[in-house]
Amino acid sequence: MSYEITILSSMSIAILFALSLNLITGFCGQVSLGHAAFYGIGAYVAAILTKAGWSLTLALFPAAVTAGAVGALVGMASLRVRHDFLAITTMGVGFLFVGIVRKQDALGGEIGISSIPSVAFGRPGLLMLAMICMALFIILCIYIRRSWLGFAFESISDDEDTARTFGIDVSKFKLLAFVIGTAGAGIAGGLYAHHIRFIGPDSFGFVESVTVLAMVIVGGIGSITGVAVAAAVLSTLPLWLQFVDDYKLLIYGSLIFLTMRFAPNGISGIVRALWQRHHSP
Amino acid sequence: MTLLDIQDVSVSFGGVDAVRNVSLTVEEHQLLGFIGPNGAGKTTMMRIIMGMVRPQQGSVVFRGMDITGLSIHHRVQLGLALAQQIVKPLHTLSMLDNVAIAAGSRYMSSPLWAFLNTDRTQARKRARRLLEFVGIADAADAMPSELPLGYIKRMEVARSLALEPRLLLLDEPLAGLNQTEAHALADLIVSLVNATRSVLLIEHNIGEVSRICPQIYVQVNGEPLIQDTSEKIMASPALRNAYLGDH
Repeated sequence: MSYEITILSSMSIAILFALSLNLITGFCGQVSLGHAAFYGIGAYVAAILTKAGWSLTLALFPAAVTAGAVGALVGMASLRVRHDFLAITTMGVGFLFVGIVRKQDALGGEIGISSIPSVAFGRPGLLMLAMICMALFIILCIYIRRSWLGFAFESISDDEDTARTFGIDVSKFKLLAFVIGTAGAGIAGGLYAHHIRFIGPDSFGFVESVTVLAMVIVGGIGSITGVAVAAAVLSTLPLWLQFVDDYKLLIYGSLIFLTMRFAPNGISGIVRALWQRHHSP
Repeated sequence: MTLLDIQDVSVSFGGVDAVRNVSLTVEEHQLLGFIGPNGAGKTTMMRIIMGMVRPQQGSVVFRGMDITGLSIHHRVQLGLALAQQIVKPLHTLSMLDNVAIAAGSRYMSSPLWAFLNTDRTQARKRARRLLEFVGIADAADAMPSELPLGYIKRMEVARSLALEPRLLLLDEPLAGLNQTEAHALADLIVSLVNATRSVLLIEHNIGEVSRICPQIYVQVNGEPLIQDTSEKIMASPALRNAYLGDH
C-alpha cells in the first residue's frame, strides 16, 4: 500500500508542478526554462519552516508567497524580452537559483537539507494534502480558462501586440500569470520536499525544468487534461523503469523534440484529431 | 468640436524622417480621408495616434487630454480603436470570439476584474450583431485561417467597432479587396460615422476615398501637403503632382 501511496503522491505533485508551468507557458504563451527554480524556492522555504516546527499545511503558504514574489521579479523580464530570449532568460534564472543555493550554508550548501520532518498522519497525510492542493489548482486552472482572465491570456499567447489593441494591459496580465504559476510551483516544491524528505541544489536544476516542460509539451501546451495525464505518466516512469531515471535528460529531451516535430499539440491534440475524425460525417 | 488634435509631430527611424512637422485635426462625427503615395508616412501617423510609435517631437491630444506618452491600452480605453492594414486575427479563436474579446474589453480593464468575470454571453451576442452589421455573420463559427481576406478585413472592422471607439482609425481597409468588395466596405464605412463616432480613413484607393469622404488630408514624403474638401482636393494640381510627379 505504501508503494501506491508513494506513486500517487509523486503523481499529484508532478501534476500540480506541470499545471503551474502550463498556466505561464500554455495559457499565457510565456516560455519558461527555469521553472524548477520556483519549485526549489517552495521546497527550501517549506523545509526550513517545518524544521522550525511549522506544520506543512501552514508552511505551504509562505512557500507559495516566496516563489510567487520571485516569480513576479522574473515576470518583469518577460515584459522586456519575448519568445526565445525569454526562454534563455528564464533558463539563466534556473542556473542562478542553483548557483546561489549551493553557496548558502544556511540552506545546507552542496549537501542540502535532510531529515525534513514527516507530515502529520505520515505518508497518507502527505498524499491527502498533495491531492487537495492538486485538485484546488486544477479547479483554479479551469476557472481561469472560463473567465475573462483566461480569454485575455489566450489573446496574449496568440499575439500580444493585437491584445494591446483590445485595451489589455499586457504587462499586468503576464505578470499575474507568472505570479500564479510560480506560486503553484512553490506549493508543489513544498510538498516534494516532504515527500522525498531530502533536498539539495541538484534536485531543482535544469533537468527538472526540462522534465516539467516535457510534461507540458507532451500533454499539449495549454491543455489542462493533457498536461495532467502527461505529468502523471512521465512522473511515474522513473519509478517503474530504472533506465528512465538514468537517462532522464535524453528521454525527456527526445520526447520534447518528437512531440514538437510530429504532434505539436501533444496528447490533447492527437486525441482531439482522432475524435474529430471519428465523429466527422 | 475637435476630437483629435495632432500638433507638429515628427518621427525618424535610423535618421530617416518618416513624419516631419505634421499637424492634423479630426472633428467630432467627421469622416476624414487620409491619402498619400507610398512612403508618405500614413501608417506611421496611425501608429503615432495609437501609441505604437512615440513621436520625437510634437503632441497628440485626444478628447482634450494629452496622450502623447500614453500606452496603447490606455488610448483604447479612452476611445481610440485601430483596424490595421495587415489584419491580425487571433488564429486560435473563432471569428465570433475574435470580435467577442474586443466586445468584452471592459472586463479586461484589470487582471482582477477579468478574473472575477466569467460570463461571455453578452459579449458574444454583441459580437454576433456586429458580424451581422459588417455582413459576415455566416462565418461567425469559422476559424480565420479558413476564410478569404475580405472576411478578415470586415471582422477587423467589427472588432474595432466592438471597442465602441470615439475615433476609429482604419488603415487601408480596402487594400486587397476586389472592386465590388471595396465598394461595399466603403459604403459600410460611411455608415460608421455617427453622433458619437468619427473615422479617420487611410486609403490608397483614391476613387473610393473621394466618393465617401467629405474632407481629405494629403501627406507626401512624411509632410502635410493639403487638407480640403474632396472636390477641391481631387481638382488640385498638387495632388496630381504628388502621385504622378511634376509633368
